[in-house]
Amino acid sequence: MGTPATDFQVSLTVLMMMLYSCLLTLHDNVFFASREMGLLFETEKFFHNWGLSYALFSGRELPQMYRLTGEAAQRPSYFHPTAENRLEVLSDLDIYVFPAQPLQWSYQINTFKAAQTTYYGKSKQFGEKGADRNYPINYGRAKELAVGSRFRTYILAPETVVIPRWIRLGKWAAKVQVEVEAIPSECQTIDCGDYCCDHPLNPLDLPPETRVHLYDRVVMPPASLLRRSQLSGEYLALRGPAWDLWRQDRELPRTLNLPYGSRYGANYHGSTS
Amino acid sequence: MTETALHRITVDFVSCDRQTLPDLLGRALHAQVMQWLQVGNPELARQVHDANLTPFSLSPLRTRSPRLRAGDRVHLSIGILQGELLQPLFAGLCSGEQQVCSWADLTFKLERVNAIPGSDPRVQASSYEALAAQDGLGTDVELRFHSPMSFKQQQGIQMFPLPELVFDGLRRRWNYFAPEAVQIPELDWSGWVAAYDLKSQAWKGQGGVEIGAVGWVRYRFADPYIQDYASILARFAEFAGVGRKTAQGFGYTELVLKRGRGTVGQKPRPKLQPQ
Repeated sequence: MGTPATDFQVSLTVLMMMLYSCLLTLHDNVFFASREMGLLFETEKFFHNWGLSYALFSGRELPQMYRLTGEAAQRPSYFHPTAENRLEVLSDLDIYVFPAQPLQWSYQINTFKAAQTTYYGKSKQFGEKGADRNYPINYGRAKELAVGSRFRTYILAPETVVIPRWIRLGKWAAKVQVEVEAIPSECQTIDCGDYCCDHPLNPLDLPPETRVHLYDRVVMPPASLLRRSQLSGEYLALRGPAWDLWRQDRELPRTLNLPYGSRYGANYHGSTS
Repeated sequence: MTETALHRITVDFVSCDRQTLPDLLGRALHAQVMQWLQVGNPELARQVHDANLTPFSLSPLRTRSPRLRAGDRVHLSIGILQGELLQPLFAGLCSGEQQVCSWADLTFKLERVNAIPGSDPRVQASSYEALAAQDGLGTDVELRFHSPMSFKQQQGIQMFPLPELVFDGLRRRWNYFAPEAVQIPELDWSGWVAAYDLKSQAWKGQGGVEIGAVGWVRYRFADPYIQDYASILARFAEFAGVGRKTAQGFGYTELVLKRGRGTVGQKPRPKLQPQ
């Protein structure tokens, strides 16, 4: 592990920021089309932090947008300069949500058949004239994260922030329970140097000063995540006797290092859709 | 961070459709890796392309069955012999979200890239110095060849992995890429094959048929001096592969460490950890 720069250590209480540990428990099947392979639509077993941020803070910190028509309809507006619900709004409020790591998960594959949106159109059957595929195009299989799966994420936010107990997540707006606990400040220190982070990270949100050396990559939209990364820079370290005492019976790792200073889109230079 | 020049990373793909994997995808996979390098660092890609010895090796695509359905996983291992290749390769691998790869009318989606030891049993990271400093494996060195392995000998193709062909070939690659301090001298590989279970295998492809041997071979070296170098090169073989066309998926090699052959054989590999 990186050598802790003790003279650099700052207590987080001075900054009035809180680190929250969030346990997410699925009460419905959660489905994202992380990968589309023919008729199979598969959900990755990580929750992207941008999606989680909207699920947690839409309607309160982030304005709820309704765009059923127009050019911007059905387009993500994570960093669109004119969008009211762009993620920088959360950065300005000093809120940052890390991606969620699976603690316990299972999958369920469901077959779906959607209704035709063109009401007067006739669905082409197998082998029928004009049918360019041998199956109806509104049919498919969704590989969904099953009920009971549990995930862990962390939120850096001011202590005044309100984190909802229930959120809706995914294409089916699945119900997810959020159990939040504030991690005591005496467990946290800010160090600088080389460190390993087992928790998934969004590389587009890392502080520009942070260098990423080696990592596993989870390919998923809208931006692939890093996992088990080796980095150097300023980081939030959770370890020591106070952390050991607090994390008992909580399924938390023995040591946890998170990049300090992450902001939405800190390394974002292009379009992500 | 630890300086590591040797890496074996794995890339996981998902089949996009019902399709059958052919035997030989080596050229396509080689071209794919070169394309990733080209995206990451065009100058380095040109140097790699023009080099006499390719600084990476590939495994064949590993899967449960060559008959794939949509959603089935296939895995590719890439052995990297020069540390500076890693970041450009990663840059190329991560260049596009939802990266779709098409080889020989087969379509796959990139799912995961594993580079940290422990993420996947096949992922390794080390350095030439660390390999040279590791304890010897003893008198016996056992290698398992997972894909057809052969050697060019005069005008023909030799399929049997004779000790001098295997270890001298590895020594040449080692000396080409390793730092000056850990170069291996020319040696008389006075060992013999103690046991083997090999069979010839022909892989059909567009360019013809490639033949090679798959299976395992146990080499025995009586001279402790040779044993030490054989141990180093056997560990190096997991990154470099053995024989011809290792950059096209041939000669993908695993070192077999068996229990009950002394403690040295069971020594865990050095894991990549920051200082």
